[in-house]
Amino acid sequence: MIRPMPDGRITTIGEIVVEIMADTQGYGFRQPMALHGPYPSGAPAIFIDQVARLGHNCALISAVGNDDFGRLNTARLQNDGVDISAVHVIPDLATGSAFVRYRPDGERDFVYNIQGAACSRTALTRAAEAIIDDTAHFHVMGSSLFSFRLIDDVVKAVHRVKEAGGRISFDPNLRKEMLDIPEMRAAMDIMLQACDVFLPSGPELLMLTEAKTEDAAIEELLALGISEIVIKRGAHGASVVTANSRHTCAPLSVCEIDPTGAGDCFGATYVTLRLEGEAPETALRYANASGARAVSARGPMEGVSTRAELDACLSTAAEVWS
Amino acid sequence: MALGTRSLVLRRRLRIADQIRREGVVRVDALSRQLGVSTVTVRSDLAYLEEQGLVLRSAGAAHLRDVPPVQAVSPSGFDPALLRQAARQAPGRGRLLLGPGTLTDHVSAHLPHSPALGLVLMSLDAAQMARRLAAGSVEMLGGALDAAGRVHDCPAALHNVTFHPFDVVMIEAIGLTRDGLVLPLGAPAACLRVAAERAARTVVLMGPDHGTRSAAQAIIPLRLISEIVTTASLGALAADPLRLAGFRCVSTPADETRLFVNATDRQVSPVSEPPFPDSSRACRDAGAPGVLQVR
Repeated sequence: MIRPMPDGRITTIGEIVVEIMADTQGYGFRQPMALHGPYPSGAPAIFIDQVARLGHNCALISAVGNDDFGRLNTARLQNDGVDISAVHVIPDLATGSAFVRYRPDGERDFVYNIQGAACSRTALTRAAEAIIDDTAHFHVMGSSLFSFRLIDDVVKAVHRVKEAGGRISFDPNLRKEMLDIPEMRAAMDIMLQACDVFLPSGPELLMLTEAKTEDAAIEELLALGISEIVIKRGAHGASVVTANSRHTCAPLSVCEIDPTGAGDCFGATYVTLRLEGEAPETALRYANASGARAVSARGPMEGVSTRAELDACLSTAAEVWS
Repeated sequence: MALGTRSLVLRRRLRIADQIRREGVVRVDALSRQLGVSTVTVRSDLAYLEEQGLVLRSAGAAHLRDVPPVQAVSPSGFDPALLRQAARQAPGRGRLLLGPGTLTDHVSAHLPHSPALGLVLMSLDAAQMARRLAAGSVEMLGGALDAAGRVHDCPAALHNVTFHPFDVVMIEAIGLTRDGLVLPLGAPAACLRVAAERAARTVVLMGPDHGTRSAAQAIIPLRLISEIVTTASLGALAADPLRLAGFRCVSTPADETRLFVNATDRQVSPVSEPPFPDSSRACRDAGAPGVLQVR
């Protein structure tokens, strides 16, 4: 079973990008419009920044270009306490980017520069291997599995961590713009077989299994050997299911400003608190609060919370409900 | 289990990639037997891995493709081709002194695996990098450090370069004048000149000048230099003056670099006669770079 490792390092791997957001709602980017950014971003970067904000030992394996977009990100992560020794600089490629525009219904359209950007050269360098050999918990974002090379390195890292007694969490983080990458779907399968904690959003639960209902999907996943399935339901709260327990958390009422990064903050908080020895139900409550606070801040990485801020948020919420 | 079948192809390809990494080469028929799939399937897997840049196929086989080394952190956007060419000029054994500089600080990242080559560094940044990457011994030249963590002209450093000569010295320059190669502002000119006098070979890396020039420019005379590695554009500008000084241009693997070799007989000071009997006086007289008196 899962044993707490309060000082164990949490590591993740994947893309650092800048995010540039359209000011107005609409459908895509086919004409000039007002934009703002760059904001530090990238699901693994947001995840690890939240871990660092909770005061936990953590590292990121990634790659940036020799440009301001890269420096913006590495400075931010380093200031927050993330070990960036395995974020290497690729002199001949630009730092990755994501342009995003919200539709009126809240859905998002993206234009990505990831596959041809510096982050596509993320690799297990010697610095990265040193980090992996000292990692208690390794987190994988499905969205980072976009090339064979990366999948190869991530799978190697997963095996190394598991062999050393560490554990693995996996968040599919599926985006419609990535559905045409054939290897990604297959790689997600491999991750499901390897992970201890699975953190899907509601729809992702069914997309990655053969089941037609949520309960059937959960049964399939538990049969694979996954210990905890943590289902993020956005504005409808969250649940955690294990082989012999199930807990659900009601949503906290917040003013939704920008949902980008909320799932990553949620996942980071859940994983960190579990590693520190909290029970699944407690970790879920804190993760829920972390996601809620992230949603009410503008900018992908701007809604990260400290433990004190989460405590305050939860006690205020308790007052409202009591 | 239905969940496992989607990743069958990917898993097989990951397995092949693993095997190629371990053995360097794989044969189609052997893989087909090991994996229990047809040779057509194996060929398609190898075609995929070639597309992904991992292997190069040949008749009935595939071998691991050399992945270019990951670049070290480069705050100033230097030219990797220049560094690779400089690394080719390094000896496989002996003692190599790397002078401090934005370019020379990064040479150690490009050196081939040479356990018999001892590196001596003059900047803390270079020493950190070399310590992580070098196969042979790594030393820091003893001497006082300036604010940027680089050894500067001082009695201890002068003493070290005078009495412990090197097989090769690598120095960074930012330009060429009639009198010789211009050293970057703040370079330990006295130490570098002594080291160059005594070394069997002195290699200069000449890159673009990113800093501000000072009125008193430190020069290293061309007669002390064996080879100059520079960019194509700087090489074009320097070609005529260097030819007049007895250098000839040699072709390099990369189009973006130029290599000039000193075809005249270089004068190397014998080790038993230090040029500065009183090394502390040499340092005092130095003051601004370029003022050093040779007895």
